[in-house]
Amino acid sequence: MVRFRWLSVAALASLGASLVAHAAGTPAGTNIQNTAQVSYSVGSSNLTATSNTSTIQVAERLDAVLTLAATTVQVSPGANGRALVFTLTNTGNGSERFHLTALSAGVVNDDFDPTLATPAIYFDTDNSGDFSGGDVAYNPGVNDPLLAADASVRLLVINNIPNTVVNGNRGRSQLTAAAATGTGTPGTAFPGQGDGGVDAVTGTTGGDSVLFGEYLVADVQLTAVKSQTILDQFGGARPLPGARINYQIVVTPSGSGTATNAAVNDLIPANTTYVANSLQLNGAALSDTADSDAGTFVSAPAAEVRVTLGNLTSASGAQTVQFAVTIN
Amino acid sequence: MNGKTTIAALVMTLMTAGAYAADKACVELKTSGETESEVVENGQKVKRLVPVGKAVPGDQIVWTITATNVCKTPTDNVVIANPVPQHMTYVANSAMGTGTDIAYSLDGKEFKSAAELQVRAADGTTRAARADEYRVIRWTFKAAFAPGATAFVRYRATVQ
Repeated sequence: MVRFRWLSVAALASLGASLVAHAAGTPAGTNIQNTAQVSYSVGSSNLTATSNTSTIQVAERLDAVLTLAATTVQVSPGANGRALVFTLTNTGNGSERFHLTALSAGVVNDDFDPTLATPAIYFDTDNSGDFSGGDVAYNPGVNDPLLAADASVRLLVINNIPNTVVNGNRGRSQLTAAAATGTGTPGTAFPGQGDGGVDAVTGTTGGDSVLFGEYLVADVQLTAVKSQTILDQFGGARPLPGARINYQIVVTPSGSGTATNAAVNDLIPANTTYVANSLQLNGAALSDTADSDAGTFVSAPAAEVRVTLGNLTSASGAQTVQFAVTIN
Repeated sequence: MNGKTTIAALVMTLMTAGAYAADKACVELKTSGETESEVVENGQKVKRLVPVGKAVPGDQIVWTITATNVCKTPTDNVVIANPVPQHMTYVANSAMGTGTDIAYSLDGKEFKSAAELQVRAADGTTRAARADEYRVIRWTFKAAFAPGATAFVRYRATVQ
């Protein structure tokens, strides 16, 4: 898979990856029971006995985690109906309903306020990963999502972009998901309000999650086309173990404006091995180490080639990245 | 003490032991679950164990098993066994019991010390068992329980 994006976005995306949802744990309402045994002897008699059974009821833990499919979405000035794609996961151990709210005006550290559409939140009903005709609007108190433990739902926050913004401007919009049973500092208890009448207690997330995504104004569009040629060791083009695959990725900027700090990051495919020092940009060799040239090969956490393309305009023309792997 | 009374006393003891063994349990066992909670006593924050009736995944429970000899005769070879409850994971190095040898089991049949307990993989290789794999804990008391004596053993486990 080829991913090309603004370099600053890549840095943000790695933060999102650490928010992996935890398994929910023992279901709310489970009774944990403990009985001990003893054996002993009195004189020549061997005897056994059991203890009382001590029971602990598992309460409902209220936890929610939001993640973003992409932390930054490129938009043009005046664009309407642009979606930030969130996933809400119930990381608690019970079935829980969540209240959703979106906010665009007043989110700090950005250059402009996107305008929330009406309605502002949709379910990705057709599971397309984007805002499309079949998606159903969220109606507070009417169709609040009900999620089983560990279940998740994809949500879209829709904004319109003002005409006045200029290239490079960033505007943030955030989504809040809150457990309907209640939220509060971790450990806040709601007696008898959990699944089946057990107690509910807020977990480490406090029972809610808040996350913002960002719109980046960019008139320039980048397209990437990846192609490959195979050379096997017998002079043919069969994908045999040991065969070499030469990959070529052509990134073409178009439109007006500047794509700042553009970069190509491409994962080395599974079951292949990167050919050392095969990385090239526009025909010039790049070293694998992170140094002054534009290219780097990183082996961990996943093998990947990275090439920084700098600031691109349509005048920059097509940028060609090449590298090679061998089939294991 | 002359020889006659000694014999009489011995007969009495044997009879008592036999009678209790036949119709009355001599060791009473009590299991209780508690959590460690920070409370303020005399203006000082101290950790106390408080009885617990509910928990959430991730909570640590302190299980205490108390054995009492309720007979008028000593009891020997006292061994307490406790399966780690379902939905819980034993906390490494948490088992304690004064005057006991502690052993662990993965299957409830074979008990070994933590250092000796091994897991055998399908390919025949072995490795040291991890604490989260222990399914039963066993405490063997080295000394007999005198009449009326009480002792407790304890360990911690986390709600999965």
